[in-house]
Order: sequence, then structure tokens, then C-alpha cells
Amino acid sequence: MHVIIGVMPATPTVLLLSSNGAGMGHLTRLLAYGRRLPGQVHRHVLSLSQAVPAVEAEGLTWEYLPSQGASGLRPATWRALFADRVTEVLERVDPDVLVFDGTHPYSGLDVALARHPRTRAVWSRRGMWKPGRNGHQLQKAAWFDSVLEPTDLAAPADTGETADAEAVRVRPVTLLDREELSGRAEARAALGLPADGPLALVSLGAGNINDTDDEVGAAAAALTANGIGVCVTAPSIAERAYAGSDVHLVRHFPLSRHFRAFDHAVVAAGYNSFHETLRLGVPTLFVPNTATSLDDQAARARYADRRGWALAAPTLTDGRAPALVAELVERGPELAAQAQADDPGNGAADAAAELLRVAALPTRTGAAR
Amino acid sequence: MSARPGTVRARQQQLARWARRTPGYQATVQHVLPAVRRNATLTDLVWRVFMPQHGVGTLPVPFTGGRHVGGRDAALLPVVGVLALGLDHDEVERLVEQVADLQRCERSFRPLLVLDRPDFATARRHGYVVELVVPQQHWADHPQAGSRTEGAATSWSAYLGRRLADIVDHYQLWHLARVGPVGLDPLDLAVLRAIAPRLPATLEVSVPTEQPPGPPG
Repeated sequence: MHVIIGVMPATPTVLLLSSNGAGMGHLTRLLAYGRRLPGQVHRHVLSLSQAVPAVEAEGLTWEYLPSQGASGLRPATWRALFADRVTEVLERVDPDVLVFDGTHPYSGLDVALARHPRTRAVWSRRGMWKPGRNGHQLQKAAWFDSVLEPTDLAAPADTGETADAEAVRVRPVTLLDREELSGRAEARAALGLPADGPLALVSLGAGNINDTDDEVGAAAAALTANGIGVCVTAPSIAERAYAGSDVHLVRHFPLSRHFRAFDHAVVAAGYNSFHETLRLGVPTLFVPNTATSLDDQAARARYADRRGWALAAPTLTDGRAPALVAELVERGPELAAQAQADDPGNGAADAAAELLRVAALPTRTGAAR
Repeated sequence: MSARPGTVRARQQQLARWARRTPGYQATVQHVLPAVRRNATLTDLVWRVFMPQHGVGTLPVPFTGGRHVGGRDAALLPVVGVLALGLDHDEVERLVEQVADLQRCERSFRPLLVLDRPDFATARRHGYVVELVVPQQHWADHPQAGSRTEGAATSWSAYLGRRLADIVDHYQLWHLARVGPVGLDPLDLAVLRAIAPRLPATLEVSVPTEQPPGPPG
């Protein structure tokens, strides 16, 4: 193994760069790394997600950059904007290491990094890509000094392009650990939920709460029929209104801090939801979102079901929702206990250590540290 | 029947990847094309053939212009930056309503909001794109290269100047309107009202009755 000894700056700066995406996943993962860095490390966020102001709660400074989709610019125009904007931030903030979290490093990032060679770069990318998809992106590993993979509890079921790709692999990453969770009463008070009675978290993306042909609506109807209160997430990037429906809106970041408010969860099987519910012990029914372009949520959910960590169903709109909810009530706690027993622990601190290792690498030729 | 936008995009990306892998691509992009662009005769020829008109409303600029303009030629409407710094939330709300009313009335521009506070939801209601700059009062909190290397730290005004130049350049802004606590500066408001008569009479721009969704996050 080739070892390079470098010198750690006294007060290193880490730039956390998140792509946009359907939820908070990229930002949350970066925050998980950030909060495990030593206190003297400057942590600054540049994000393409409009949810980025949430990082203020972690004491981080942040900036926003509109995505190509949000701006509507021509892809080539946006790439030039992106390259110039990242360059401006690199020159002003002068980070020792940049961490990009996403499955698709944008063209232009290579340009910006080449313009500012003092800054080292890490590509943080989760696995579980749908088989045969996105393989050409792996070539972009050459832009980075290190590829960091927060592994997946369902990794044995990973048949995507990253499964055999070179990477520094750490245990699955979640923002919080069990001991950081609030108690049940405190959690319910913080979220404005009733102190008593069973409650379920439903997080299946934007949906129609009143339509049982819709996953959210089917879940809500089945839970309500079982006497379980329904709590839906209202992420700051969503505008879905549930006004008039008999559900509780929960809005808090990080919501996982208050997971003890919920007796059950019916959630999609994205990386964060999957690992947070399993690691933090919430009895869960996974309903994978199969519309994602790359994330193999179906494989992840099936694996959890097979291992006896949670229930999984491809859909709730086929009439099986009542039976699945009944099974969740009966077996959920036992499954959640098994998931916790099999939990290998949080890899976020290992990831932070990797960032510091890269930050201390010698500079590239011609760059002053 | 036309292909779905996602399919078209995928084909474009595939074609771009293929082009980038073609031998001689880098040399063409870095040397041949700049030389062609600098050739006055060729440039004039291309201009005469493909750009018989000039002026506002003749060049398409792909950009999300919001929910209040649509139609065949909406992409020809000029993009106007609206620079609103130091406002509170209510002032931003009022400003965005003013811009939306003006846009519905004039159908002559597409706004880009340049703010120093993350009032994304306000902008999203109208489908407007937001560029954010670091607010002056938070400038000292942001990590600065100069403070760690004992070099000169960037001043906020120098930063703002660079960011605005960048925004004007990349979004191809036709104008950057300034804003005070009571809304658009009167002179800038007059400039925006002067756009419509300058647009080609053949432009087809409408106010959609069914509002399309705003830009994603």
C-alpha cells in the first residue's frame, strides 16, 4: 500500500459540496461527516439544494447554487456557470479539501479543481446503483484524490456498477446515533404531536393523502383503519399541502433526532431513510421508490425483508396495505430489534477521518499550501 | 409525435459524450473554433445568414422564466436581474408580487431574483429562479482564505461585484434592476416598462391560464 505522509494545517477548511436531488440525502450525508470533524475544522457548505439553509442548525456556513434543472439554462451554459462559481468559492474559501456528494460529478467541477490545485478532492458516492446504469460516471474518479463510499446495509445485494469499483469503504453512515435521539415524550412535544396513542411516520415522497390509488393515500388509509395516527413529512423543499386532511405534518431537521415519537414507519428505501430507520430502531415497512433514475431501492428493501430487519412491499396500492400494516404492528418491534442487533455501527467518523487524511496530503505540483 | 424531454436530453448527452471522445475534439474546441469566431468575414457571413434581426427579443436564452409567461416565443423574452439586498421577508414578498404583476401585465421579460436571504418558497410560488449572495452581515462568519494565510481578505463589496458580474454574464442579463424597501427603483421600473414596445411585433407570448410547475429545488 502506498502511504503518503502530509502535514495537517492547524485549522483546516473543508468544503462540503452537495448535488441537488429529490430529498435531503446528499446534504445529510455531508453533515454526518461534518459533525464528526474536530471542532477547529472550518466547515462550509455549497449546495444545489434549496434545503441548504437547514445546515445552519449544525452551525455551518452555507451558500446556494441553482441546479441546471432549477435555472433552465442550457446544460453547457450551466456547466460554465457552475465551474466559475465553484472556482470563486475555492479561491475565496481556499479549502484544504472539497467533498462532493453525489452520483454524478458535474462537468465543470474538474475545471474548477484544476484552477485551484491546492484543494484536494473527495468523491462521496453511495452504492446500490441500478445494474448497468451510470457506469461512465466512474471515470470521473480520476478528478478526485479519493473516492469514499458509505457502504450499504444491503451491500450484499448490490449488483450495480460501483459494487467492484475502487473506493475507501466505510460502514453505513447516518447523521445521528441512537444515543443522540430525544425521548418519546420530548420528541412528540418537539414535533407538536399528541403525547399518547400510536403514531406512524409516512415518508413516500409527494403524494395524495386522500387517494388510496396513491402510495401515500393507501398507507394513510390502512394506518388509520388500524387506529394509528399518520404523520407525513413536510420537507422544506416540498410544497405539497395536506390542508384539510386528518394527518400530522412533521417538519424538523434532522427529523431522525425525534424518531422515538413514532411507533412505526412506512417509508421509501432511499439511502438515508433506510439506514436511519434500521439503525435507529423504528419498526418499518419499506415501499421502494422505483422511479429513481439510479438508486436501486427495490433491491435495498428486498434485502431488509430477507434479513428480517423490516417489511417490504413493492406497492401499497394493490389492496395489501391493510394486511401489511397489521403485520407491521405485530412483528415490527421484533424486526427492528434484529436490525439493531445486526447494526455494524456508524461509519461517519471513519469518513471524517478519511477527509482529514486527504486534507493532509501533499499539494499537487505548483500549488502552495 | 415528439420525443419526451428526458429522452431528448439523454440523446443530447449521449451525442455530447460521443463528440467529446472523437479524436481532434479538444483541438477543435480550443484552437479551431476560437479562430473561426475571431475571423471577421466568417462572423459577418454567419450573422447575415442566421441573425438577420438584432436587439431585444430576437435571441433565445433558455431560462426558467416563471409561471406568468408562456407561448411559443417566451424563450425570446429578455432575462432581467432583480437585485434585492438587505430586505426582510415581508419586503421580499411584496417585491416578488410587484415583479409578478409587472410580468403578467407587460409580458416582456423574465426575472432572475438576486437575493441575500433564502426566500425560496416565495420565489417558487411564481416559478422564479433565485441566485443568492452572502449577506453583508454574515460576511465575517464565512471562512476566508485571507484570514488563514495572512493575506488580504476579500471585502464584501469586491465579492459582490464579482458575483454580480458572473450572474450578468452567465444568465445573459439584459438589465440588472435595483430594489429598495418599497420595491423596484422607479428608474428601473421605467426601463422594464420600456421593453414591451421594443419587442418584435410578431412575438407570441401569453399569460398561461393553467400554471406550469415551478423549477425544482
